[in-house]
Amino acid sequence: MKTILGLLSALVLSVGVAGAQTYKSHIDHPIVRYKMQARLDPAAKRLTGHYTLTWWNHTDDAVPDLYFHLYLNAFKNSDSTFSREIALSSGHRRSEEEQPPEKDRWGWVDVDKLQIAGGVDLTSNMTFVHPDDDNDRDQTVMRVALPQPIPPHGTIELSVDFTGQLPRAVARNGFEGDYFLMAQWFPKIGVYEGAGERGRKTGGWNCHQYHANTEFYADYGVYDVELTAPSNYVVGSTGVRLSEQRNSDGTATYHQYQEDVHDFAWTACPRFVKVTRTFDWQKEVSPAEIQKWANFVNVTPEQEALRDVSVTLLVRPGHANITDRYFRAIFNGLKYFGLWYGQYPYDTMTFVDVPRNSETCCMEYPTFITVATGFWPGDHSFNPEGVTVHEFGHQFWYGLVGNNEFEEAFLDEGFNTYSTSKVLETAYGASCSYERVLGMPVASFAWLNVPLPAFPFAHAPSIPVGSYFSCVQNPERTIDREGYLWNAKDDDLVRYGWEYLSGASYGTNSYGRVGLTLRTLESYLGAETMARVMRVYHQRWRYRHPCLADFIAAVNEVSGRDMNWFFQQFFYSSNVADYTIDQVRSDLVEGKLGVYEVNGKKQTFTEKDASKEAKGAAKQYRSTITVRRLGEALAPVDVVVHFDNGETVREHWDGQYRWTRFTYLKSAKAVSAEVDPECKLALEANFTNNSRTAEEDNRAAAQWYVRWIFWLENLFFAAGFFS
Amino acid sequence: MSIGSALKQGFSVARRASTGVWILFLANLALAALAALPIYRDILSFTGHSLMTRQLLRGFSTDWFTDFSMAKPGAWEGYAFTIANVGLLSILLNSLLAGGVLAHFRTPELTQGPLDFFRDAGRYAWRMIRLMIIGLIGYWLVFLATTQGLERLTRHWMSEALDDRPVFWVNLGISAVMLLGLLFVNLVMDYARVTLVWKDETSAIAAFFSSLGFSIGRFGKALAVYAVPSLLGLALLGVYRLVTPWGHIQSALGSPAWSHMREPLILALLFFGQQIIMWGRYWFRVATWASEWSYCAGARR
Repeated sequence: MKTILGLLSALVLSVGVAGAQTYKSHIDHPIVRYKMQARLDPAAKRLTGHYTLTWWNHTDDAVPDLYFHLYLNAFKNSDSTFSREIALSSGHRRSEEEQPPEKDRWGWVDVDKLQIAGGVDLTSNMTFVHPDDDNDRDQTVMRVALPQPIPPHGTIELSVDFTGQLPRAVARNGFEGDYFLMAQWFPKIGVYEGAGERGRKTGGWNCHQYHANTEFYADYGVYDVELTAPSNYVVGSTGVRLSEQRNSDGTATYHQYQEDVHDFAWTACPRFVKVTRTFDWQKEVSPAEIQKWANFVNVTPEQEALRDVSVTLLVRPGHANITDRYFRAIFNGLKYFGLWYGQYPYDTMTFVDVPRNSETCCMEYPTFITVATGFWPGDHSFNPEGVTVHEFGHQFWYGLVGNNEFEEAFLDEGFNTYSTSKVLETAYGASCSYERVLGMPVASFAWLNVPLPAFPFAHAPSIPVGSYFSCVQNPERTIDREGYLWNAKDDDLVRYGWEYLSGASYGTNSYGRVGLTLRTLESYLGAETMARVMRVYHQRWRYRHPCLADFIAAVNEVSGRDMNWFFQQFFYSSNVADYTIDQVRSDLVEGKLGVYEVNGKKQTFTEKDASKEAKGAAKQYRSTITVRRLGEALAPVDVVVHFDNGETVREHWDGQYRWTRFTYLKSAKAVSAEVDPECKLALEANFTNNSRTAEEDNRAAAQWYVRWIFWLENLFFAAGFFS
Repeated sequence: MSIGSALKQGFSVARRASTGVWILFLANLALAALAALPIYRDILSFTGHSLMTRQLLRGFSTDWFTDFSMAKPGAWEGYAFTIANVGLLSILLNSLLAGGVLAHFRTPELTQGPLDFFRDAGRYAWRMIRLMIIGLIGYWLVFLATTQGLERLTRHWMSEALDDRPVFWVNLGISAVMLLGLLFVNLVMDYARVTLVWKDETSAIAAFFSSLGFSIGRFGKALAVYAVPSLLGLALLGVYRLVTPWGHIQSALGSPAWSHMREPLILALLFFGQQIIMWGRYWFRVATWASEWSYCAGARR
C-alpha cells in the first residue's frame, strides 16, 4: 500500500506548466551545454548539485586545461580579492551594526568531484589560480589540468558534483530570511578566446577573479536545469518551465530550459505572488509604428516585427499595487528595445520584486531580472520604471550582446544606461523629483538641506528647502551629469573594471559617463544615423563577444565618417569638455583719429574730427566674440551670434586651440552669443557659460529671490513655533 | 467660556492688534530677505550674463543647478548654514516680540503704536526668554523620545524587516507621535505666554506649570481654541497654492524681449500676493494668542 501511495505521489503532475516553446536557437554550435540538477536546503542555506557539461573548443588551438569561475568563494572569507577590495574602497559592505551573524556571513562553493564523463577523475588536478593579482588566498578561479589537450574544434564532456553555501545576501547573491537568490551559484566554465577574438594575438583563457567592481563573462549555450526546493516555495528562474513535479519528501522539482544564454539564475521564496501576463506585440505596437521605426532604423517591416513573450512577475505581498506599473515597464522595454535593436528573441521573461534589505536588487541574468520598489513610490518618480527598464535592457546589452564585463563593463552598463534613458524618454517623458514628507512622496525639488542643531532638535533630520507640490523634471538626456562631473578626473573611461580608482569611479565610468558620451555621439551623428549604428552593432554581435573596437568599427562603417577622434577624446581619456563664450562686445566705429595718408600727404585727425565724421555717417559697430576652450577635451563646435536687428550668424570652430575670435562690422550690435547652441556635448562641464549676453539680465535672479524670500518666510514662521 | 465665544472675542481683539501683526510680519520678511540675499547675488553673478536666464525664468532647470553646484562647490551648504542660524535668531526674535503683542490684549480698545509695542516687548523680554528656554527643553525631550528613543527601539527590527509596508507605518507612527508631542508642548507654551502677561507673572517656571495644568484640565477646549485659528493660518498656504497662476507668470516672464514695465510688474504682483499670505498667517498667529487670552481670562474668572 505504502509503495503504491509512494508511487502515486511521485507521479509527474503536470500542473499545466509545460512551457509553450516557440523558441528556435540562433546558435549552430553552442560552446557550453549544461545538464544540471540542483537542490536547495533552506534550513542549511545550502545547495547541492550535479551537472554534465559538454564544452566545445571552437578555436584552432589545442586547449590543455580548463578554467572555472567559483564566484561564491568571493564571500568565503576576508582574504578573498573581493573582500579585500571592498574593505579598501568602502569598509564593510554593510555597516558594523548591519553585519549579519558570523554563521550567516560567509558563502562558498566546493567542487566535490570533477571527472571526464565516464572517464578520468580530475578532482586532484584542480588548483586555484589568481590571474589578476598576487592574492594566493583568492579561490574564485580554478584551473583543471587535462591529461590530454582538447583538440581544435573538439569537445569534452565533464561530470561535476558541487556544494554551495549561500551567504546572507551580499552582492546580489544569497538569502534573507526565507528568500533565496541563487546567482553565480555553480562552478562555471570560463571563456576560451581564440586568436583574433576581441583583439587577441594568441588564444587563451579569459577567466578573471571576482572583484568588488566587476561582473561576469561566459559563453553562450544550453541550460537544461532541474531545481528542487520545498514545495511551498515559489521558484522562478532563467528559461522556460518544461515541467513541475511534486516529490514525496515535501519538495518539488522544476525543469527549466533555455538555449542561447550564458548564465542561469534562480530564486525561491514561499511568499512570492506569481503574476503572469503576455506581451501581445500586435496589441502593443501598431502597423504604423512598425513602418515608422523600420524607416528610422533602416530595416524592412518584417525585420522590425516583434514576438509575443510570456512575462512572469514574482511580486512581494504589499507591492500588489505596483504590479501594473511593473508590467507596463517591462512591456515598454520589450516594445522599444525591440523596435530599436531587434526583437527580444526568447519565449519568457521573469522578474523578481526583491524584499527590502535583501541586497539582491537590481541585477540582470538571461530572461531573469531582479528589481525593487518602495511601498509608495511617486507617480512620476520612475520608481520602479527606471530600474525595471534598465535591468530588462540588459537582456540586450550583456544578454544578447555578450561583452566581457570584467574588462569592458562600460559596453553593457553604459550602453544600457544610454538605451534605458532613450526608452524612458520615449515611453514616459521626464521624471519628477520627490521628497518624502512623513514617508509620503511629494513632488518637489530641494535646493538645499537646512541642518538642525542637536539642541533642541536632538538629531531630527535636516529640512529640505525648495519648491513643493510641483514637478521639477529630470531630463533623461543629461541624467547622471553631476555624478559624472564629480568623478570625471578619476579615471579614463576605458579601463578594466577592477582597476578604477574607486567604486564611485567604476560607477561613473561604466554607467553615467558612457550614457552621456553616447548621447554626445548621437548629437554629432544625428538621431537616425545613431539608431542605425546601434542596430547594426547589436545585430552583428548578438550571441557573440564584442569589444570596443568592434563598436567603433560599426560607428565608422554605418555613419560613413571617421569618428576615431571622438573615441580618442571621450573614451580613451579623462578629459572634460568645457567651452565658453568669454566676451561679447560691440564698439561704435568712430571716424579717423590720428595720422593718416590723405592724397599722399600726412594729415592729423583730432577727436573732434573723428566725432564729426562719425555723426555724419551711418552708425557701424565692430562686434567681437571671444570663444574659449576651458576643458581639455577637443571637439568641433558651432557658435551662434545674435544681433539686435534680429540677424543671426552661425560659425564653426574646430575647437582645437584654447580660444578663437569672431569679428563683425555691422550696423547692428551683437547682443548675445552661444557656443554649442544645440548642446551636442551632453558631457559639458557647464552649460551656463556656453552663452553670454552683452547686457546683464537680472530677471531670473529676481524671480528666484522673490520665491526664496517666500520659502524662507514660511520656514522662519515655522521656526517661530519653537519660540 | 465656550470655544465659540473665545474665538469670537479673540478675532475681534486681533482686528485691533494690527501693530503687532505688522511688526511680526516685517521682522520675518527682513530676516528672510537677508538670508536669501546671498543666493540672489550668486545667481545673478553666475547667470546674469547667460541665456540660461531665460530657461530659469520659465521654470527650474536641473542642468543649471548642476552647473551652479559644480562651479561653486560648498555654496549650498554655506547658504544652508546661514539659513539655519537666521532660523535660530528667528526663534529668539519671536519670543521677544510676543510680549509686545500680548501686552496689547490687556487694553485692546486702546491704540498700540510701535513705541508702545517695543516698550511692552522690552518689559517682558527677559521673562519670555526664560520661558523660551523651558519650551526648548520640552521640545528637546519630545525629539529625544522619538528620534533617539522610539527609533532606536525599532531600528533593529526595521533593519531586518523584509516588507516595507509595516516599516512605513511604524515610521509614520513615530512621526505622528513626534508631531503630537511638539503640538502639545506648543499648546502649553502658548498658554504659558498668555499667563505670563495676563497675570504679570514674574516666574517663567510658574507660568509654564500653571499653563500645563490649565491645558490638561481643559484639554479639549484649550486645544480647539489653539487649533482653529492656527489651522486657518495654515490653510492660507493651500489657498496660495491653488490660486497662484504659475503657468501665466512663467510664460510672461520667460519671453525673450525684456519689457521695462511688464516683467517688474509681474514680479511685484507675485511678491505682493505672497506677502498678503504671510501677513494673513501672522494675523491668524495673533488671533490664536488673542483667542487663548480670551479663553484664559474667561475660564479663570
